[in-house]
Parts: sequence; C-alpha cells; structure tokens
Amino acid sequence: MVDALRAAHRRVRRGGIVIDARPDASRHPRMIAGGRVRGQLLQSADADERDERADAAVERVVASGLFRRTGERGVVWHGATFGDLAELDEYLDDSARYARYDRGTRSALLPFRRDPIAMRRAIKFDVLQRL
Amino acid sequence: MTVAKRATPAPYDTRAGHVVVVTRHPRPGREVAAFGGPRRFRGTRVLDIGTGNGRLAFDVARYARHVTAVDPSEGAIEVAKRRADAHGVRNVDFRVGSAQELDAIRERFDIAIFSWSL
Repeated sequence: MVDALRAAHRRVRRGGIVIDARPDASRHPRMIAGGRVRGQLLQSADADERDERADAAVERVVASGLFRRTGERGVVWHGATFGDLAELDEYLDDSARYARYDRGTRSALLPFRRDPIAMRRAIKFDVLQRL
Repeated sequence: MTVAKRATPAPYDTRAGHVVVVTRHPRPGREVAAFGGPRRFRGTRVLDIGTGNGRLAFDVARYARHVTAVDPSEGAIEVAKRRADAHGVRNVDFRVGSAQELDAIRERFDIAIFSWSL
C-alpha cells in the first residue's frame, strides 16, 4: 500500500492531489428491508487488517513528507440492492470484505426473504496534497 | 422474484447468466461534489486507480481534460470500454493494471483517485 502511494506520488505533479476513497470500516453497512433498517453486516478480520494497513500506509507517506493532509475528508453513502435474501447470502459468501451478518440481522431479514433488500454503506475519503 | 437488470450488465458479477446484484451507486456527480466539486476537476488530467466499470471515471470525465482509468480486472475494463463506446466518451483511457503498476504509465497527473484500491 505504501508502494502504491509512492507510485502515485511519482505520477502526480507537485501540488497535485491524491484522493483516497474506500469503505469506512468504522460504520457497518446497514441492511434495509420493508423501508426500515433491519441490521448490519460485519467485516472479516482480513478486511479489518487491510484497512488498518491502508490507514498506516497513508500515515507513513504523510510522515515521510511525500504528501500532506488538506483536511478535506468526508463520507459518501453507496447503495446496493439485492433481489432477495438468497442473493444477499450469495454476495456475503463471495465477498472479500464482509464476513457475516451482525447478531439478529438475518432473522430480522427473514420475513422479507423474497423482497429486495438494500445495503447502504459509508465510503470515506481523504484528500492528500502531493508535496 | 424477478430481478431488474442494470442498464450496463457487468459480466464479472454475474453467475449462470443472471444478475446477482443490482447496484445503485450514488447519483452521478455526487462523488465529484464530495471530492471538491467540478471546479477541482475542470481541465485536469486524472488517474483513477481501481476504476472497476468506470463509474467514477465517467463522472470525472465530464469535467477533466483526460482520465486514465486502471483496474486489475480485465472483465471490468472490458465493460468500461464498452460503456465508453456506447456513450461516446472519448477522453477516458481504460487500461488493465493495478495500483502497484502505476510506473508503467508515463504521463503525469493533476489528480489521482484511489477508488477503494488502497
């Protein structure tokens, strides 16, 4: 990850910017069915570790003077809709990021198993300036 | 349950001929607005790292002079190129590649975006 940031540093002109946008692990994706939030998904330990490594990589390139934080940061909400609960199960089985339902979430979704189920997740971003 | 197909099917997330996930990303322009607005991107050269099917690259391309968009998935880049052709987008160059392979790109950019790729 530090390598990727260093490579970006080589490709971006001095004074240019790098935007780091990725799912915000501190906010669990919310699962919505029947017009209400019914629970959330939890990340895998691997994904948590990757996120920590990415955060550490950003800290390292800032500390080493390659970039500076502009202070511009925030969250964009992304939505995804699954056709029914089986499709959500399938997505969860295949996801490299999300590992399981939070306690009680799947049972709360069961009454809506044949309905579309929406996921809303936070994508955080941080704007760095290339020095 | 009938699943509505998206306007631009993405072969890398379909199985057995049916669309598994119907995705509704943020409305066009919402991320550009969050990232500083059109003024930030107007006339710039942008590198989109981890572009996927090019969703954000197309948004940025409305304002940028040129966008180079890379993703390690050949399937995703294929979809992105087809979308670009279908919509007549000429200022986006889609390439297969990862965040670690940026040195293969010779150009310099005003803005690089890590799209979920760090």
